Amino acid sequence: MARQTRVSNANMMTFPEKLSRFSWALFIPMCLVLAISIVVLYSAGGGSWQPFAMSQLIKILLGFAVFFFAAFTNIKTWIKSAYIIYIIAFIMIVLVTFVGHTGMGAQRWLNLGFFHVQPSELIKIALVLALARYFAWMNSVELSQLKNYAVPAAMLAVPFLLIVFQPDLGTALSLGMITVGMFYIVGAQKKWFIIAIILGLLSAPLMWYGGLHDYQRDRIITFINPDHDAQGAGYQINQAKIAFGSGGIFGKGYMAGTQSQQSFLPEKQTDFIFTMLGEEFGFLGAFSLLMLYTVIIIVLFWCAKTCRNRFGQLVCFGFMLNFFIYYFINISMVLGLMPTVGVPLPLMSFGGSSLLSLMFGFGLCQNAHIHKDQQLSAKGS
Amino acid sequence: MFEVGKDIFKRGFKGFVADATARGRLRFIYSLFIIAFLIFTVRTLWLGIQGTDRSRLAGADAEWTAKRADIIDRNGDILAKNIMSGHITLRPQAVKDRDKVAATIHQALPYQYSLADALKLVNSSRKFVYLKKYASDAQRNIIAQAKLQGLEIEPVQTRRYPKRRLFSHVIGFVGNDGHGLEGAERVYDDYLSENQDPLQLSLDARIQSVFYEQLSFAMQKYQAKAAMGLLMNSRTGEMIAMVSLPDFDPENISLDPAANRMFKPLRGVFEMGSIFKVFNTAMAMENGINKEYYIAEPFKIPDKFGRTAAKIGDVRSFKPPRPNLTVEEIMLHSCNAGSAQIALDLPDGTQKEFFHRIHLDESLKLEFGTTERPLMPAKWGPVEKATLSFGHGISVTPMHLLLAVNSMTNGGIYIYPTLLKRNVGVVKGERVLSDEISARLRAIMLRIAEETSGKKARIAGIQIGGKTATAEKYVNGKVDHKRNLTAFAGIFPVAAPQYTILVILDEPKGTKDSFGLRTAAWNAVPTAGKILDSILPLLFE
Repeated sequence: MARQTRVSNANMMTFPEKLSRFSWALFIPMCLVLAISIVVLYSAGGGSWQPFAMSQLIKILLGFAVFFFAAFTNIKTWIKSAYIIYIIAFIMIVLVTFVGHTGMGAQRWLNLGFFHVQPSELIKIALVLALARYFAWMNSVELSQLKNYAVPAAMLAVPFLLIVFQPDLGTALSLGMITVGMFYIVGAQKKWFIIAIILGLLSAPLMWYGGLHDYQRDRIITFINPDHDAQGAGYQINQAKIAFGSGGIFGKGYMAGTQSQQSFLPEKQTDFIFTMLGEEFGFLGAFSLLMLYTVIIIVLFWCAKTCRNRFGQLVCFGFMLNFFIYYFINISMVLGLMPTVGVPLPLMSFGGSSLLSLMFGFGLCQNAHIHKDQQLSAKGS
Repeated sequence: MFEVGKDIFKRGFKGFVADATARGRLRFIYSLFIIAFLIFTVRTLWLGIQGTDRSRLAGADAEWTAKRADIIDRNGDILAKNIMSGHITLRPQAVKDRDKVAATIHQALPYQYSLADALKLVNSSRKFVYLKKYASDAQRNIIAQAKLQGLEIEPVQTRRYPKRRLFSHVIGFVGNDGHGLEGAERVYDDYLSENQDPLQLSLDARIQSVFYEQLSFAMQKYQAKAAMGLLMNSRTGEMIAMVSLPDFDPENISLDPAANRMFKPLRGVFEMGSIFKVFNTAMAMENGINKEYYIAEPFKIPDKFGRTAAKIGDVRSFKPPRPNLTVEEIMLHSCNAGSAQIALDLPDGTQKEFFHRIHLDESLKLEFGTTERPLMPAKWGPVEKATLSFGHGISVTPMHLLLAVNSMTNGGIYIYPTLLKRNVGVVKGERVLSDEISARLRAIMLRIAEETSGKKARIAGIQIGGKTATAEKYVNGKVDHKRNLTAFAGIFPVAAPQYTILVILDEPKGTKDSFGLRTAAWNAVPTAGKILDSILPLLFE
């Protein structure tokens, strides 16, 4: 492989040098998904740039700025600022809990004047960065000691609880899954996982009958079984299945999906965008998108493995987990394999916070790939 | 550029991750990805194949819209009906004679499509176009007579509601697929989509419109946030009228805010206030409490150290006739201090058992929908017992209250309501109270309507009984004296009740007529009086 020339640690890489190491394999599938998202959103708006497609296009352009900034900055900058980014995201979560803007029955948005941000999207990337920074310079002995997992567990627990009470169970659970995944990969002992699972199972009935209010229990029942809600929360998922199925193998044609075009399908531009693709482009369209996502995940995986420094590896790995969990939950939900949880489809769904933090994450992975041969020290020098 | 393939497949899982454990774990996670991808692919394919079959079986989307039975009220008045219409559709790929199709489109829809536009559409690569939704008869005739391939009519039926807003929550509406989404349309969806005969409801459109008119009037006059009115047959459980304001237009649901779609009598929980004294009195009578209580001063509830845990007083306007009142008089004058003392004299657990007996502690699964779950006190100490006696510390839906009051006054039988017109026959119920206590309660309620707070609901021609309630709302954990909920629950004729009525106003304001007062006697009661005045000739014709 031609590009395995060593770069000395003391030297900063020049821009052309960085560009030559830029991974197009990571960049192009991402751009393709973004392009598909614009195409589908144009149709979701009833064949018009308003109200979704244009707005999303502007956010994507902004996202590219974030992406390139994240990709071409020196990796040491990100090592130095990992904790700071986490703290900023954390403060935003705290703020949103107390002064947040309530929408759709949950307090998730923070009004920044010019637009509303959803800090729970940012914290996912921030947590990955902070965990990577924390674990990257530990040796295998330290990694096998339970006490060294206390700090990252706390880094998860506080925002986790705040987000649970927003309430946004979907995001909270996926934060937990990202952290557990990272613990697993850095080498936490298997028996801890087994003990944690057993403890979790044992405490579940206790929590259920002792620690929860009636209305909280009600929420969880509805969360597990949407049909429980008398107002018909199951309506959406049913419509999604019908819409998806009615697409058949080849789809009904662009902008001709009756279920979505006639607004049968609520939230078609956000969480249920995959249905719209399925209805209008059929199995082939949906399969193509699944393929693209799989390619993205494989490339992220490959980035993680080829990185010579732990920090880069962990950032790529953590982000890949993040991406995968979102993709997995959303698609399972839309295909009726899981209860409805408010989770966007990464890169496809309408909405700025999720898109910008994802593109920031892609930028970081690209950055890790560009600097994959660098040897890094804990001080970031 | 794309060394992905090379790398992954040549080097396998080795990469640069050195130790074996990490490699094993990576491999484990990697296999999860692959499994997820496979499951998704199979599921997508399966849904796709299944969907293709289904749409073919059902004749594409067109005939999905099933014919739907009408809904009529107890007198045969039409409340919902299907009207036939059709969409004009174009499938450019199936068109053979392009010029003729374009000409026909232009002929049928001359203002929407010029000949050039039509040609452009016909020659486009799109698969499916709706040329005109809900086309008129004339437009559809032109298309139907031309009989051209690719240019078709998709029959649709639209659901019309001649009474519009009058029954918005009760009847509900249907979605674009022709299936009911809310109200009776949803509950009786199976019947409506499978039968041709109309569905006859127990509702009476004439009485409903009296409720609607008077409640809208009251909402404006008292600047209330919401108004609810329910009328039920005390014996059969038939619902005669159910109004909840604000409402929405069932034919154009996006016109009104989505919050208006909430059917408050079933889905809203409120602290109902003094109407709960009916239950408190019933409990006192069941337990044989027959003594006088000193009520001239606020009643102090001691905690276990002998300090005052809470003080239960009455409103300033409360003027007791005597310093000591009997159980009956406490309910008659709606005295909080007395009710609290009664509640504390009851044996432990009585309240809990009694509320359970009249289903105030659970969500009701009624024929026409499930109610919201009531909010019960978290702990049941002396203070809670005392406040529960006059309806604070517990939130129930108006439907809970109506059914409970009905069971107290109709001779002690708890009857589940129905929205369907009942034929003559025995209605099953649960006995929750003795006939004798029920009669005694009715006597008090008669006096309330004749002498005290219910006076304004008294009407000529029939004896009514009632109980009023003015509940102050909790806002952010504090009592807000400016916001309250006023209610009137009534029964008539009081000697042998046939109907039970409940009128609720949410956050009414004081007016000049009421000297700025906003208690039930000044708004909910006169509203109920006006309603009763108008509906009596209709009910007992």
